[in-house]
Amino acid sequence: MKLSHNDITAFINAIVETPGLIEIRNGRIAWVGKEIVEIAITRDKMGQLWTYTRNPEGENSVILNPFIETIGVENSVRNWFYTYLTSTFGLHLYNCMAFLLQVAANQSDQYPSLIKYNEGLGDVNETLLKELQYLYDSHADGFFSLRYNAKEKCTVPFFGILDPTEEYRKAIPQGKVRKKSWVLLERLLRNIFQQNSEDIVAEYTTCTDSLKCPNFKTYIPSWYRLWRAIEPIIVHSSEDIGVTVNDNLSLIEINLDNIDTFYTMAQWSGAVGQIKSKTNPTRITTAPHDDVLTSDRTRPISAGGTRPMTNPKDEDARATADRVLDALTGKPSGGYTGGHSVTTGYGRQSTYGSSYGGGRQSSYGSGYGYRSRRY
Amino acid sequence: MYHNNFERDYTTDHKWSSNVSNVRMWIFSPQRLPMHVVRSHKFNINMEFADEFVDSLSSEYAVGGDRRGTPIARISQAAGSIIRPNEYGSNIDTKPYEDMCPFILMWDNPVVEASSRLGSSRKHDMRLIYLGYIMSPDPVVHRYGNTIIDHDAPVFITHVTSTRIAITTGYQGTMLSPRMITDSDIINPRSLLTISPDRQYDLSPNILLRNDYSSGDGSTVTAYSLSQIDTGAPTLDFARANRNPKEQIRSLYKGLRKYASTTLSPSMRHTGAHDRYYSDSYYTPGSRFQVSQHMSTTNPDIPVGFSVNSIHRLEDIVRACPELKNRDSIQFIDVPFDLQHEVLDNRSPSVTNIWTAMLESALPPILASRGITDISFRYCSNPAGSSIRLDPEPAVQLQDIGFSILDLSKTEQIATWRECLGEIEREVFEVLITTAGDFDLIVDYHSANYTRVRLQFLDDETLPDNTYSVTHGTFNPLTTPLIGDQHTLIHNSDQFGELVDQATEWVNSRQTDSYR
Repeated sequence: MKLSHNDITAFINAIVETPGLIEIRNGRIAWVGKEIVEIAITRDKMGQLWTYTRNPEGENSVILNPFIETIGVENSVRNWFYTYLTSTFGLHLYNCMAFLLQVAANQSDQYPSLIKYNEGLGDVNETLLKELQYLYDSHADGFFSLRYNAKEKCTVPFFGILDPTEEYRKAIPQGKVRKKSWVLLERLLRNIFQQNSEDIVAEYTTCTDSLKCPNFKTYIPSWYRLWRAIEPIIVHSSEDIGVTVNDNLSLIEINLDNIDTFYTMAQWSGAVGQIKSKTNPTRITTAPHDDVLTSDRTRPISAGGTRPMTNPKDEDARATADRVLDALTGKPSGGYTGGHSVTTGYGRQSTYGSSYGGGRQSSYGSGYGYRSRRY
Repeated sequence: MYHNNFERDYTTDHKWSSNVSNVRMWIFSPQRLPMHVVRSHKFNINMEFADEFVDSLSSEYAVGGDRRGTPIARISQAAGSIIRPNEYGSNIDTKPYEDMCPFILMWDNPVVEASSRLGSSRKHDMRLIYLGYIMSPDPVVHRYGNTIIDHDAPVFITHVTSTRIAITTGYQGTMLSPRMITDSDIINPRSLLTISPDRQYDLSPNILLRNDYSSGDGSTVTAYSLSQIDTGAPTLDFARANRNPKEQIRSLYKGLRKYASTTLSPSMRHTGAHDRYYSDSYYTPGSRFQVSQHMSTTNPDIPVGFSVNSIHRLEDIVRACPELKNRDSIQFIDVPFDLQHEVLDNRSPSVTNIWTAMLESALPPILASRGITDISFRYCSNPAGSSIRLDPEPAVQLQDIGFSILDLSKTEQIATWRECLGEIEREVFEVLITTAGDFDLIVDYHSANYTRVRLQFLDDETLPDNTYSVTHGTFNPLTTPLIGDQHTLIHNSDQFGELVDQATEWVNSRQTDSYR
């Protein structure tokens, strides 16, 4: 069967619409019932985000083409894409967990298909629900993330609750989450992903030896399998929060084998909205022998500039995360304030600001020694 | 095409002869320049290409050679996929140039006084062709048998080609062998900033790598301002060959190869520990800079003819070429001001606009290298529209062709066109088919007049009928994709630098191995 560019569009649409927060409106990507997503093309120019298309309208249109992956620089569209998918999955995962705990707390027999997920939890009370909410609200990206490691060419999920290094737990102030709650939440996660050991991470890790869009090629299969795992729960939990999750997983599954072909077909355009963590067009790079002193060979310097040293990539990522939360709650967010902490409009405080972003490797992911699927 | 006798004069009566020094000039009435969006070249170097690039470099040093074709050929093949016209172009204000008169000046066998130590004048067997604008409403008026020239009218040269012609005698008889030695776009930086203020940076591959330099304290400083074009310079010249993206990558590869051979040469390997320390320490420029020094640069000022690095008046031109005082040596051609067809709106980042820009950029240098000045052809890559692509035979229709130098026979014209088409297929169409799909293309190219391009992808029927992207040969140099805004500069510099870093890392690791 010959694949066409319409197949690529359908594939990309299916992915971005699955979480139920985005709709395709006249070819453009828009928050459901709200405005069209805008992406920074340059520092001073924004453009409307279009789904994959070969004929966008308007000179400042930005095409979502995640098959374009370049060396050296990131680009803001890809960054938005992965941040959006990671954030929304984290959000739905939290909602699934909260929903299951609510069902357990109410001892409701309304959802017989969900009984297996609450096995071994025992008595669940409101406190556990509040603790879960605290974990998600304060450390959303530490709660769950799905990150691509460019060096290994692997996409690895991270679940804070399962973090074997316990760095995540240590970051939570003492007394906020009880010891037995950690055990119960860990059990709940294992029930959801139907895994009994630390193999959850390995099960959902995808690696590749291919050089054709390795980020996309590893991320989407991992993301897809994670969605499959929460699918039976999310059909109930998403109704509970008023989001209609789209059943696109079959279409996505079919096209997972077509990624190489799509990659070849989609190379006609270039990377859009390149971003790099520099504050001005001058940078200083240390000499090779200074490597022993600093691992970061490239550091921005301020050459008389008054601009704060912010990473636009982080700004974009945080803005996306805020938007996801806004879309669900209907409340305006405070947005990214420029430092290393994030204050959202409803009192959420995050000290994990610097670790946002799809292209970065979480420090949590290093100790797993995972086995993985290779494509 | 033209109302006057230009067609006859220019296309049939411009045979080159070795015997005489001859100068002809055609000046045209002002012409409309359609709205234009310039798309600078933008690199999108993916991991696949970076891997192939380093692999090719290393294969040159592999024992037993490389069986997958020559490294430069492999790089060339892969290169097409990584350079694209920028999705977001710069709007050009063409109005100032709609009041000026385009001209063509053809100078055969220029005589240069005291060109050598012999102290005698010398005739060069060559043809120089200048394109440009004259800033005057009436640059030349023929009245009462006299040619009245607007002496003070400024003359802006925008493009120059020089072709050296060797006369050889073989078993076939005496033959003329033309070889193009210069094909440069000449740009006045102040004019450039007037028509597109955001395009201030030189994106030539070798310039991109020179942003990195050693600060002397062990650090490498990157200052993109080094790429900023010098607005104080009278002109800037850009080799037109670099408009072909593959040429840029070949230039980089050759630079790296020279860098590698210098670094890995036996004399460098066996100089002992002191030199090793020396080369790693404060005193050498960064590897990016060193590679840039090995890359080809733009053409120098041509030693004969007019200096392209200064602005002339019409009087200077006539003084340098007294033959222009002869009647009919300067022809003023009155041409229609308006365009005869609809112009494509090329502002959106659509596949048609991006790839039309690529064709407008890459075709002229290839055509010029074969001496083709005018050509009209249609090319359909897959006329049967077959869904299964088993190398279908493309449909090609040549309608018209004109050459700059020689009065070729019909057979020779066809042979030259076939060679040229082969090169276009290798350099441009292959990439187009691979990355954007099968297409139907109409090209009506005139090096000194309007060029119309209509690119229709076979699986995309959104292009309106009778719509063409239109550029003008005389104005075209000002839209060179080798100049761009700061955003593109940073992007390209990072991409190019990253690629060079990966390649030089391999070179340096090999050098380190050789010390052991």
